[in-house]
Amino acid sequence: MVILFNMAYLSFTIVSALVLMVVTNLVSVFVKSKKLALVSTITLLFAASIASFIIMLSGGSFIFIQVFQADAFSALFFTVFPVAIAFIALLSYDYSADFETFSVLLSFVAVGVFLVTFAYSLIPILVGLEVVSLSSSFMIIVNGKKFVEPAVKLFLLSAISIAIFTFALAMLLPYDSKLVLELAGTSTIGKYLLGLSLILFAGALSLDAAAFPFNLWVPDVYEGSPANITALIAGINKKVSFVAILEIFVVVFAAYKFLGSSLLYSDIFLVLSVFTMFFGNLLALVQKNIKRLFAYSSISQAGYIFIGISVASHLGVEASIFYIFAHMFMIIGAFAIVMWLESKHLYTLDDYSGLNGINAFAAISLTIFMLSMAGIPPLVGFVGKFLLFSSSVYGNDVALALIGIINSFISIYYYAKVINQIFLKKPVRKSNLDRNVAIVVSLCLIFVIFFGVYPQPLINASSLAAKAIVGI
Amino acid sequence: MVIPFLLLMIIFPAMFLGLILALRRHAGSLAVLSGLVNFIITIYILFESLISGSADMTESFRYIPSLGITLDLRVNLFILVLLLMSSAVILVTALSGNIKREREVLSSALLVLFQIGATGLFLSGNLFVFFIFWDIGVIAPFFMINVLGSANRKKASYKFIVYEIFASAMLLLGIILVYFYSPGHSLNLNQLGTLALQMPAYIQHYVFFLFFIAFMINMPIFPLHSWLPDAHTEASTQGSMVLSGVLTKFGGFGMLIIFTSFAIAKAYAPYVAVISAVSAFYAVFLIMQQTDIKRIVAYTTIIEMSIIMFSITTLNNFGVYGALYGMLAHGLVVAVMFLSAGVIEHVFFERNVNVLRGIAFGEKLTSYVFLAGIFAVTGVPLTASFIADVLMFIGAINAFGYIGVIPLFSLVLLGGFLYFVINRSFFSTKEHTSAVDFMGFRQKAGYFILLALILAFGVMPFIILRMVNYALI
Repeated sequence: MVILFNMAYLSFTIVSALVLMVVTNLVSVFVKSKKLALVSTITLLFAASIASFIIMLSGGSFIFIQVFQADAFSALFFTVFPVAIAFIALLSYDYSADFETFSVLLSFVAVGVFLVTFAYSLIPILVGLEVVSLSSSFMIIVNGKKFVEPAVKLFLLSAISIAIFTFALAMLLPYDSKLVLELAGTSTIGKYLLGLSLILFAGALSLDAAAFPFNLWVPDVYEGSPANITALIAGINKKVSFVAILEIFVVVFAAYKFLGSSLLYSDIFLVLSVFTMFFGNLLALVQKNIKRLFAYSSISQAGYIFIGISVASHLGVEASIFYIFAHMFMIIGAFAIVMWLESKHLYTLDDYSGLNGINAFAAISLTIFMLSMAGIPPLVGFVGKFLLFSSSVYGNDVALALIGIINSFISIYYYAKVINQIFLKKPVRKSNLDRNVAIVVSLCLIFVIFFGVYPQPLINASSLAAKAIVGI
Repeated sequence: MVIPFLLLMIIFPAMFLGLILALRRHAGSLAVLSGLVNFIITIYILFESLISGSADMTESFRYIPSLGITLDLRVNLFILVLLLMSSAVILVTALSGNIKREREVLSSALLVLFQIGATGLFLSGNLFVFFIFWDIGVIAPFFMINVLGSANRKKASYKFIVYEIFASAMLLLGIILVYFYSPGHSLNLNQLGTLALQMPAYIQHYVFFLFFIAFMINMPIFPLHSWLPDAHTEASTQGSMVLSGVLTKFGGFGMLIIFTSFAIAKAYAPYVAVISAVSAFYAVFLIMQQTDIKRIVAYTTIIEMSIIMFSITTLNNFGVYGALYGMLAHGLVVAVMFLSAGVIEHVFFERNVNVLRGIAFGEKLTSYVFLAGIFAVTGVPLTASFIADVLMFIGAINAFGYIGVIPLFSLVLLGGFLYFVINRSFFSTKEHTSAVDFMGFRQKAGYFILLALILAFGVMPFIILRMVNYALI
């Protein structure tokens, strides 16, 4: 039993599971076995997830290989992320042009996620973000020539982001020579270089997380990529950059005040969150293509997550973590259905009319995911939004909560538009969901409903994770 | 071991919902069973309270301990009366609302979902639970309009959801304000009055205003009412019955709560009284333009709810309990009117009162039931509305003097219009619209249950009124 809870062994298990996954997936490319790739991906991800879950339960903190730290924060994220990655693997099994190659790239994504979530230094975050976005742009391009545009867009975006990130690292160097994730400099005025570094980090990461001025890539990439990879980008890539944002700003810049009044990063994310919410929601109102609609909706959802970050308190970080998980499964479930319908050549809002007749389960699940995104109780999105708005009111910012509530009111407009179409009566041919899609959708549905009705376990876990990073 | 009856009233419908979705047959019967279970539990609670002389009951369960939120359920006289009304209306809706018996799985599932929302909302002991059930109760009718409604349903459902989600957004902000400004992060509805007094004054005004807007939309009162006629007209018969019978009472219940617990309500009451009087007359003048029979019934809802709001603003015993009794009466009456309107639509395939002629000769029972409904709406003695109107206007005279009787004239105008309509369309002897279909036994049973309850509460008001706690106001 002592060995079971030994942090070193557990961390070693995670690392070796990831390495083994990369190796077996590489082998599966050469032996041309889709089954081997799927089985190894899912089992090894599951093993890694279980190991991190035990780390989270044990509640300790452990630094290994000098640049990694296992604590409740990283362990919670690495408990959930592998599950989501396994969902993507399941979805892509029948829908990917070359699943063996895809699974190798997917294992790289898992490695990237590991690097970011377990990082104790800024370097693994840099590398991890790069690995995740590079692998996903390769994933897009292996599907064929017509996918060059979104792949190049994603690639260029990540290149720009990494360039800015590196520049920001250089600015940070005088104050944090080892580049570890610890408080860099206390709140003294006059450290302009540190402030510049903070702003550059905010720019780089809001490119990845698609915050307001830097989010124009999202609709194009979402629309252009195959839907399973869109699910990956929406569910994993963007969420990983939120993890990086939490690690960098809440830990490294936790005390930086520019003019001695309020936290600089809190002000920046306040502005970003307001603009991102309005931008996403208002543009989503006029979309005709369903993937573009979800793209803009997920932009606005990123704005909600920023509310918690800008509040810069334990409750705010906890709410953000909760909402990251909530949105991850809502969007993966929604894109699973979108992907299945895309294989039937249904793309636009008009194509979706009569979905209820094609497959009632898909129609009802999509409706539930959208209601959850709009924040209707008793679904997980509502609990997340309640936490976020509460944290904002608790941080004495009633106006921000009001803006968030107005935005979730706007969002019901376009979700209701889709729901209107779904339940139109039309002569259509009935069709069954594919098995893998059905599994992923029902698991996401269980997540959305269970943690909506009984959110306590997830709130507790988020609270533990928030405790691990706030106030280091 | 104590049986948690109040929790069971939410768990049973949830189980029936699961059963309906899993079995996908006998859906209609399961919905009736679900309604019946809750009706029986309500009757049991009524019986217990009559014996003990007090309707107060509470249950509390752990829910989200880290936020200090518990799953509180409570019953008091307000809630008991509304539960009686809502469970009876939902039972009859399940029994007889689906006249054509089409798309039974979906309609029954939505009805049971609405039942969960309505029962949970009335039973909720704190604002968090209140909000959760509020939204469940709004989403289910949205689908009743959007999926099961008539020709113009898409636009109507859109309007409905936009208004109602705006209301729930205001409600949510108010609840969050209460959560953070009340001592000990309490959301307890039983102590809302004392909690409100401990908040800063401007926050009290914010919270009151936000809650007021939310409930005003839901009730609905004049400037914010325009979702209602469309929604009620386009919804399925089941949808119309629960929408005007039960959903509008969410707002009425909320108004009862805020006006009886917030101390600052006294300052606002006269203004609200004026708004609601205007609202009643406005709706009366609009109703005279209407030709669609469901639309006419929908506008009577606005008038009745405006008068109930007017009566709540009197803030005395007669007024408040009159409003409560008015909600009981109106829920039952409007359900029977929408049911008979649905039957008329089913039998004659026509809703326009200018086209319908002499239908009493084609569908005698329904015409007389509709007539009875009109008697009940206008407050003819022996119906429950009579008791309600008497109480309400005694309260109004006590509070505002004789000027308080003015809104009563909207009821007079309404009665005049309705008798005119029914005389022309239902009992005209010159032409006869021919029946194309006939109604079933279930609708007759529905008429019987609702009319029996209307009569029972009209003849025996002491069932409810003996439990009145005069110290409340």
